[in-house]
Amino acid sequence: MNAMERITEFAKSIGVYHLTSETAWGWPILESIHYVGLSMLFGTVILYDLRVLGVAKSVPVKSLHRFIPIGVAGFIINLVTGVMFYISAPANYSYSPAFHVKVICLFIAGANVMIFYTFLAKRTNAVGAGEDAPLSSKIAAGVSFLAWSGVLAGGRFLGFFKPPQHWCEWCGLFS
Amino acid sequence: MYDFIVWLQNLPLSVWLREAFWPFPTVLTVHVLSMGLLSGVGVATGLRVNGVGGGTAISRWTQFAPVTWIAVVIVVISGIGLFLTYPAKAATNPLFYFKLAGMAAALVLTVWLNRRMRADVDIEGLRLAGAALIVLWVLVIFAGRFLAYTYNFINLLWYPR
Repeated sequence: MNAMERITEFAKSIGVYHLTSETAWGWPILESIHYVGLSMLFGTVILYDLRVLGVAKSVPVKSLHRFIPIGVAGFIINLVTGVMFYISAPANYSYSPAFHVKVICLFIAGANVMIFYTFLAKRTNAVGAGEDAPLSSKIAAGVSFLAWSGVLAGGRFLGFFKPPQHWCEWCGLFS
Repeated sequence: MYDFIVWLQNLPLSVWLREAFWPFPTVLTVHVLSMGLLSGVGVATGLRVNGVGGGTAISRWTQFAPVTWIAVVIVVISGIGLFLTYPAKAATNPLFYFKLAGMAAALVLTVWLNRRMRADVDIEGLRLAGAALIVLWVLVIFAGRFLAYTYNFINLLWYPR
């Protein structure tokens, strides 16, 4: 049994495979939930990024930061539903360049979040009504905007890139 | 109407969108990015009038309205692109009209909410509208996603020729 089959076996053993692939509407319902999660994440995070970049300056950055928990909730919803998709059909994702782009963008977005909360969050959230955010915060906001857009784009292209396994030079390393 | 759909489907633009490799997924990606922004800002607005993220006068939030309207323009243009790619697929699916109606209702509600927020009214009177806006966007998202799974269940019989 190769790695892909072992992952699918695991999905079957915990009942996820049944839900996603052996019910009439399981996959579409989970996908819709994934899209609602995307909306929660993208809407709140991009709103924050836009404010930091200089849109709607009369709103203090701190008020927008109160929406970030909604974005985090959206991210958790999408992590759970996304892992359910992946373990149900791992080969469709593992060998797909669109999925690789998506995961790389996720790591960039994640690293950006860590850098932001380590060095920039305190200063950025102190930016009040009518004030301009520092350049470093603006760069982080721009990276966030682009990286999350890349995550969405990679996801959207997933259904259109289903290359055969032999296209993926490095995938044999895991089997 | 039937002839119109056939005519649309045979337009060079429609054929190109369908048969070239990049156009359709690219239009889909633009649609999902603008949809995420539009519905996401809608959900945030609905939450704001329900007390989340307080501390700033709600009239100031309406400064984000242009973001919504730019997203609407991109959603509609990319949506027309998607419709042109597979016109019969969408036009024969009742869910497509449900989605359009839901989106129209959400936009009317957004205009109304923005006007009330600009007047800085008490949020107590806006809570229900805010909750309705969130529900509408969730319904539109579900309808949109299900369009990709329901078209082959339609037998065309109900559709006026």
